[in-house]
Amino acid sequence: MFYHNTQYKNIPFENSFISKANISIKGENIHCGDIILDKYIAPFNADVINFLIQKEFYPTLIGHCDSFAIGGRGYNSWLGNGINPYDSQQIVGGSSYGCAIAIYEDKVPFGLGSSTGGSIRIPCHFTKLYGFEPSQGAISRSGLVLHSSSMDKIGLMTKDFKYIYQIFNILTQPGNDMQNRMFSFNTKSITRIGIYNDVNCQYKDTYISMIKKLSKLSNIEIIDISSDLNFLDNIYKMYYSISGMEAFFNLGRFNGSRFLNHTYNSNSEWFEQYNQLYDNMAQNTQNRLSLGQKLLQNPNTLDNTMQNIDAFREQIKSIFLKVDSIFLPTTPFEQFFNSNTNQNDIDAIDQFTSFTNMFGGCALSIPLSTKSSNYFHSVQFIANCGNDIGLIDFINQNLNIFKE
Amino acid sequence: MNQIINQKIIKKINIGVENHIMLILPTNESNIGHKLFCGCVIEQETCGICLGYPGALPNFNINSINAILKLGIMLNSKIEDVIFFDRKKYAYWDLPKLYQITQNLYPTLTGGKINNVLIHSAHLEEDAGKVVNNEVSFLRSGCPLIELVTKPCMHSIEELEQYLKNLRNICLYLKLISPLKSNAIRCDVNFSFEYEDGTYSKRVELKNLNSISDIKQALNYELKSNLIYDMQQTKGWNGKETYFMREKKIYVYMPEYDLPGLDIRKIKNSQNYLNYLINFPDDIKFNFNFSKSDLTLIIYQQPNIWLQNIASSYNISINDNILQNISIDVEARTILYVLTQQYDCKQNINGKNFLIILMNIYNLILNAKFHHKLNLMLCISNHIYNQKINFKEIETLCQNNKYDKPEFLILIKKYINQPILVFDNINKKVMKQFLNVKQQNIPYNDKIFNIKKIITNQYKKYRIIWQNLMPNIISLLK
Repeated sequence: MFYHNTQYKNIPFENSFISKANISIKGENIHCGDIILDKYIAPFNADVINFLIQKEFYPTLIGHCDSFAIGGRGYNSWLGNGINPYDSQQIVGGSSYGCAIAIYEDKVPFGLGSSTGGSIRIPCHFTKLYGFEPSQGAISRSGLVLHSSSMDKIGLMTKDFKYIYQIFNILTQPGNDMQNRMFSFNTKSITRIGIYNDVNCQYKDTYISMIKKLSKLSNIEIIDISSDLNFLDNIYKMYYSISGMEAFFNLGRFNGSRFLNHTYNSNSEWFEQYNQLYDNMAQNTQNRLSLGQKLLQNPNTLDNTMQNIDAFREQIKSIFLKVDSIFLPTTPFEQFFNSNTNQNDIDAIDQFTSFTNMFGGCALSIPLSTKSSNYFHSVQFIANCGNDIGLIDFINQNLNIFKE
Repeated sequence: MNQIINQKIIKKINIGVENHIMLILPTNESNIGHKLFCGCVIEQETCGICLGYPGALPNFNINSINAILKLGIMLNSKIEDVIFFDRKKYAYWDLPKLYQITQNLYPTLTGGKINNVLIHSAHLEEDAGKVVNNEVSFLRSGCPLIELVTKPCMHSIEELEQYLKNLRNICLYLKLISPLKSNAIRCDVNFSFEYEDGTYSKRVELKNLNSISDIKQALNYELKSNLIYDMQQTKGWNGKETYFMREKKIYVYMPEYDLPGLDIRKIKNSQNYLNYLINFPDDIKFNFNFSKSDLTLIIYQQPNIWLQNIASSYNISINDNILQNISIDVEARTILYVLTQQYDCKQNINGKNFLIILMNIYNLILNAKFHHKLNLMLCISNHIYNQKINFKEIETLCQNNKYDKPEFLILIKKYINQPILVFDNINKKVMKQFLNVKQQNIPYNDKIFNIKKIITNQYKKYRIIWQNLMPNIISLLK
């Protein structure tokens, strides 16, 4: 079971969509892929659900996900592991794996996922879908169960590119989220594309051939920024430390005292049970929490991490002075077997995606039709924060070259 | 916890206070007010945000900025331009989110004073739930608080009592708290002893103090018992004696990314806050060195925007470079304000535009030391209120500070020698012109404008104070 039905029944295919299990839908069990919330019924709709219902799109399915969206493979869920519908020996990628499978199986035309470090683009890569992660603040997050307040965002997954255009317009209304209210678009047409010639990727040949196709387009300048993108080899260390620290704060509230109807007679009794409840959380989530707790015990760690992130954002700023968009493979892997438990591989699965969320930019992952391999290849374009419309326009105009 | 009585004799007690002021934030629709990060009514409702439900995001209540700005202006504090929030992590069952949203790194207010008590900082934060008979009530969770921290500058219980009364008066005047609510201001007392041999005790925090009499009793108990404090700790009060609660905790903080930094410069510089300064009651005027009439002149507005408005109303263009160099300085701005109110801004003095000369004066005043600025301001304001002025004083003052620039002296001299126009001085001929204007079929504002025009043309030698003349002009037009 990778997804389940909701209260919305008998909805035509064109008007239905799947929502990830961490986006609140009133009256539904929003379990976030973790047993700690298995009895939690959301009392309100997320802003995005309200916007879509107003336009007569209904969430007919809820897609299961990794526990609190922590996990890149779909292997950190209370409801079982995600399995690739195309090849059962392969992973489906995470954390929005339930949505990816439902869309691959043509149950719904599009889905809403959430991304902390590429949780939309990675499952889209393994199931041949378009995955769009907008700029930080472009879409209201009110109603999304966050584990990282600085990086989490809601995005779109679909087989048909037209839905990205249509649904993104609906979702960008001002909501109840302060980040969203203070956001403004900064549209700029994409003419200079930065590439990474030294990329370490299993389908590098496809990537290089795509660069050749792009260079043939008129008004497009290809710029090699390999030296600027060296940070990609070590970026996940910073990503894990900031996400761990934020998870320690955000996930602390799931102590069960208010969501599982437990009663306590004193603070000490509550505290005892609260610590026990944490043991029920998925293993990777517990690891991430304890990493965050360990890092926060030293006050200098937080300061250093903040300084590193500031320096990283400055670096990204300087890159976007040279180019309008960065062109990269979506993940380093062409295939990822579910028997592969090599920690280095697991960490590297979001090597090309996580940095987008760290500077708040937008990214679009595009599936490629290649005859050379049995497996799916995909590439992504990353643009600066606020240039969502410029990015979508560019892909829409040149969609044919990715289908050839 | 063993309590050991100290053999040393207490020379002095240093007391600092942490106040939690529970705000009422009334809106147009309701008088009761809402919580800090949601639309729930204070102490009456709860929602997903104040209960920390999954997916509920805080939504900042803009009214709380008004509250803290009013307090900041009243206390003469430095007000930050941007409001940032942090998360403070502690595990206790009255905290629904397991962290409290507060301001740790950048408190909105720093410095300031209430009478002689120096303020360290003040910031906004949300309240936790309330534990009553081993049950947690979340009605109070998310209510807006201002945490006000003083420096350890009080040395007696009487001083502390007076400070708390003053603080309550200020909060009531600014309408920050409800007069009907008894525990709107909570107080945690921090103290340390200074002994006769020159050594100090560690700091102790006293909690659970519900009234001023509780505070008095608890501090008297501590002074009498004179215990040894060799570590920082928190103690409680049970009505009879103080008891050990816990050692001083070190909290973990993190920036609150759900609430991005909010630029409050526009709100800060709007003129609404001036009213609170003009109409303050006598019992809380101790915070200011100025008289009530002087205070009316202090304008809490960015001088560049305000000057630009004046200039554009007179069709004068001001150089951008001059405008950019203006810093916000209350004393200098006050003098500027006074001068522009009394003068016709369009006039030329020695072939130079009046506003440009004003800017030069302004820059001179900016560079002066504080007490010189104050003297200058008082000289000018005294003159405006028809009091005698010792011009030599100003002249020597300016020379000592190398203020020998001609424009400055000419202006001041001219300003002081100019006679003030009184309504009785106006000729019968001019009065006839007024009556002509009155009979014209034009809007009321145009009539006033025309009369002003006639007066400025006819009485060029006089200094015209419109504030004094306007009541007569208005009664003439009726």
